Amino acid sequence: MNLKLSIWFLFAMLLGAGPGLFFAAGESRTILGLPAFYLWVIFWFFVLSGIVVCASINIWSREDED
Amino acid sequence: MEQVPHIVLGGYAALLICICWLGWRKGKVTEEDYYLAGRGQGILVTTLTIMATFFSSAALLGIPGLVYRDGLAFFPFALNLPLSGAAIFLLGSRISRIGRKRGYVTPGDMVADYYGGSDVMRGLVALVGFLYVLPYIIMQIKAGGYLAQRMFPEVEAVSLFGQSLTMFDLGTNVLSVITMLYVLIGGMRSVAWSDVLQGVLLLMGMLLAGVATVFAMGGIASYFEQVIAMPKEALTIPGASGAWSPWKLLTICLFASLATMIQPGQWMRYYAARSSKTLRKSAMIFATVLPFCFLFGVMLVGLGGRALYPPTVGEAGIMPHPTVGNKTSEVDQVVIVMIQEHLPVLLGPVLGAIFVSIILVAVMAASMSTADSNLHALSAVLTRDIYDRVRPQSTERERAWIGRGIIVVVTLLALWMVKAGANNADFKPLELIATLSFVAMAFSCQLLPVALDMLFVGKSTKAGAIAGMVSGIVVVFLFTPFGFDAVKPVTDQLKKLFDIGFCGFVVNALVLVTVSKFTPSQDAERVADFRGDLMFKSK
Repeated sequence: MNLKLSIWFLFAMLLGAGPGLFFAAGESRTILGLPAFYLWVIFWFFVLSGIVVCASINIWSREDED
Repeated sequence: MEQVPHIVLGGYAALLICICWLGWRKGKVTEEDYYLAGRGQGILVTTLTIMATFFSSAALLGIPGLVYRDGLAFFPFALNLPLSGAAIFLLGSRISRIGRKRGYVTPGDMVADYYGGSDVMRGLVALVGFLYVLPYIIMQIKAGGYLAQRMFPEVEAVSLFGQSLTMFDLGTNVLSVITMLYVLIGGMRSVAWSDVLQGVLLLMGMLLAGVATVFAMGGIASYFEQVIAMPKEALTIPGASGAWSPWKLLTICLFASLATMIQPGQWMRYYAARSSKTLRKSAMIFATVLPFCFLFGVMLVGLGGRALYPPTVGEAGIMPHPTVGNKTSEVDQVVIVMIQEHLPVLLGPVLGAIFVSIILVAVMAASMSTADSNLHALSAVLTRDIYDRVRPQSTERERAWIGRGIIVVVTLLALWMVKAGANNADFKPLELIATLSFVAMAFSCQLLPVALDMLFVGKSTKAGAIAGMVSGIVVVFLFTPFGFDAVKPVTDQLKKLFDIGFCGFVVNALVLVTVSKFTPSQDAERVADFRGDLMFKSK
């Protein structure tokens, strides 16, 4: 699970703040009246934060008795 | 109505004085207590002090200013925050664990111990810390001057002890003296407790400014209608100035964020945390709350400001709208202009004035929380890593007083540089320092290869680490105004493509690995002991 989450995190960084931006931010488009670029960043924020929360609850909490 | 800013500012100053007094009353006269508050900080204090140290006035001025200048292209920058949050646990819990076991106070204590008591490594870590910290203190003091000018625009000068002071001078003096006093008297405990107040103000200010902007522009639908009507360059990468290519954004998100999380002030906060559980919960809160406040708060102010007051392209670069400012650097003022222009209209004169004052005090809190943490960390680094090496027979009491002396000297030096820069057109160290503040994180990033090896790999040698750090610092130095002209075409090109810290990191890591391959390994037993103290052991 640790490795899976790390790979997902890196993947989300590449898409959200890296070359993946070409999918949403190369052209000015809108979805439901909102800029597609803005929605793209918001989506990856939820994914990245979700991964941190998931890792914190399921993996890192094993070190709590420290 | 005119008294509202005085009352809000007075209330804030009174709260800070109370915190300072409480910190002093609870403190003990030991180095560990003064610098690490007895290593007992809980979740609330740890989370908010890490947040408040992470963001300076940049959170409420600089970042929305860049959104105003470049449009949506700067929004992905907020995605560095979940990674920074993760780093609080992944790096912080190991640093905290071994720090408690071995009594470390500064980053240099830990690095030098890992490399067999190397004073060269300790000195290099102190140098990297110094290069990161000093420009930040100066920039925060300067922000205090600008804020005072904005809060009291009707006052040109005040008379104090027979001397006439401009509001800029008064703002810098007040911010420096209050910050210096509570760091001096209460140490880490006062700094961290005041960070709680300042962190709450900072988060509240970020969200409030965003919500107010959206409503001032007619609600969510109307806000986004005005946003999507902006020119294409404001809605796409690389942004209006062409500065934000995806690779540059990615390397900033990955490396600048990690560099900031291992700067001396943060490193010492990991030592000060009560346990791994504290850091785990802080990581979770940081990774969710802070990016939320950016993406749904203060970044929307910059974007809305761009829609209402579009900047223009001039010979000097992107010029702000005359309502926002008259120089390219004044894009930073967009938040202040937006709230001063629109909040009183939206909320009425009384409530509007109260909220405007609260947000301006939040900007001041952001500046003070960074200045105090950096001042405190620099005092520890210079006392423990430099003075103690020069005078090893010094007592704990002597070092505590030297640390306090350093706080006074650094504050006065920073204040003098701010004033000299403001009063004398020929004296321009501030311009250099302002430029340097952008590479400050890049200098801090040069600690990253050593930190990653020390915490997770354990293969580097002392010679490899020294060679790597020196190479990384030299590479970053080449990107500064002090770099050689001969390499300028290359560094200018690289700067457009990648984060500067990343460029230094690559060279640093390559040199570290290569030199470590050809130099004698560290004592295996000592490294094994060190790694044993780093790791979590189930009871």
